[in-house]
Amino acid sequence: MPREAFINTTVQKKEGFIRTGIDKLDRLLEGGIPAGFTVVLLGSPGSSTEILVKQIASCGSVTYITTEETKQEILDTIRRFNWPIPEIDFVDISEKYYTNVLQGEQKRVSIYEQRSKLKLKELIEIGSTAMPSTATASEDFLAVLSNRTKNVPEKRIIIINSLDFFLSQYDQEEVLRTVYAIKVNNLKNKGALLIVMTKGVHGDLFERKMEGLADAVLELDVIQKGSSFERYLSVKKMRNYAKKIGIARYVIDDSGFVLEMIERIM
Amino acid sequence: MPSQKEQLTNWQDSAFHAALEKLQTSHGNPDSVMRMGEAFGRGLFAERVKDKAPDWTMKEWLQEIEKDVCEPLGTEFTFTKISPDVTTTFMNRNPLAQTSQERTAESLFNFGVMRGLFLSAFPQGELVMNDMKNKDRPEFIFKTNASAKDKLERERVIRAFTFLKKEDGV
Repeated sequence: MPREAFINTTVQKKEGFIRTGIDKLDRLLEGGIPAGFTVVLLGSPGSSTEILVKQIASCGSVTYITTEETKQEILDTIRRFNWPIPEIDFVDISEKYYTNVLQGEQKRVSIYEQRSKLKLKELIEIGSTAMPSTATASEDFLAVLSNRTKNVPEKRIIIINSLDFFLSQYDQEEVLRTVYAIKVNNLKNKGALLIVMTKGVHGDLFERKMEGLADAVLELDVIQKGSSFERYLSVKKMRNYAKKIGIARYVIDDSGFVLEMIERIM
Repeated sequence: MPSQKEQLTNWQDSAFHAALEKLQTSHGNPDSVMRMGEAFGRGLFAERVKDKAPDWTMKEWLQEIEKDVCEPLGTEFTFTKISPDVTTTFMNRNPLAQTSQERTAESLFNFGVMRGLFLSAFPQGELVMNDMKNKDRPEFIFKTNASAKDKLERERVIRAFTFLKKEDGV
């Protein structure tokens, strides 16, 4: 197994590749993410996937679909690491989701308040002591995801952090169909689609389906070695670029995500 | 090669571990724990149960869930009412609750798992929980057609458990 240490040189911009902005990750990928690629980023708990995607987001022209944190929380982290804040188009599903939850709750409270002011005769007219229908049709977040990724400019990075949110609310097949549609759009736009998903939650079968659909699969793992933990990023799949399959140890320091060493598998 | 039972238990442990991790990264938001439970429940349904019936009845769903999910995971239920629309059940045994130190998170996760499993088969339904003070033996009510009030149950459960957590000082 050939082994190479990193040389601290800047990666040259290559035609047909979209740089992640993390120099050593671009070196591992030999120039960045090939244009049009869909990349699945599978993260084990504790692997700090959320830091990696924010660092990538701070490096270029990005559409960031967030379901885990609000836009403000993301910007706070980016500022904490002193990364630049360039052109990020946020689709804040997290904020929308909690607004819906709050609205549902307010509706519930106001209905009970209204009831408490009604006279007995009026209550009998309503005909029930149960709660009246509030018609709480919540937003179709999968449709929001689909729409907001449809008309993005060319050569843009789209980050979906994370697919876990959609998989908690929709059937896996439905989510797969939407991801496939986004993949096709991304291919047309020659962009890079980065989909974050937690490893070990949705089942082996679904993970395999996602790996099959993806052009590239990056996996972030935490391995306990004695009393310490080591983190590894592995490039598990890279369609048409078998040479890029490899593994790298990484740490998170004040500057963010730092890759330390590459081992080539092929 | 781990047995099917071991595989399922490992999968559940991994999903619960991920839920606890999400709790940290989402700045302590309990919704994230329930969401991971729901995602795991939907995954379980898709991987182990989904293809066994084209249209589910309550009875079929219960039988398959008991056989393919509860038994291998060591979870035991007592059914007090089974009708085509509504089923009431107590959870008697839950190995995850016995091993976990995070009782509130485990309860939210567990509710999410059952909800994910149920809504996968009955998208118009809802899972309602009674007697939340008795966390060791909660009563689950599965309804295939949810009312508007039932649809708010998920948020009520999250609030109730978060409140219990503060009361307990956990």
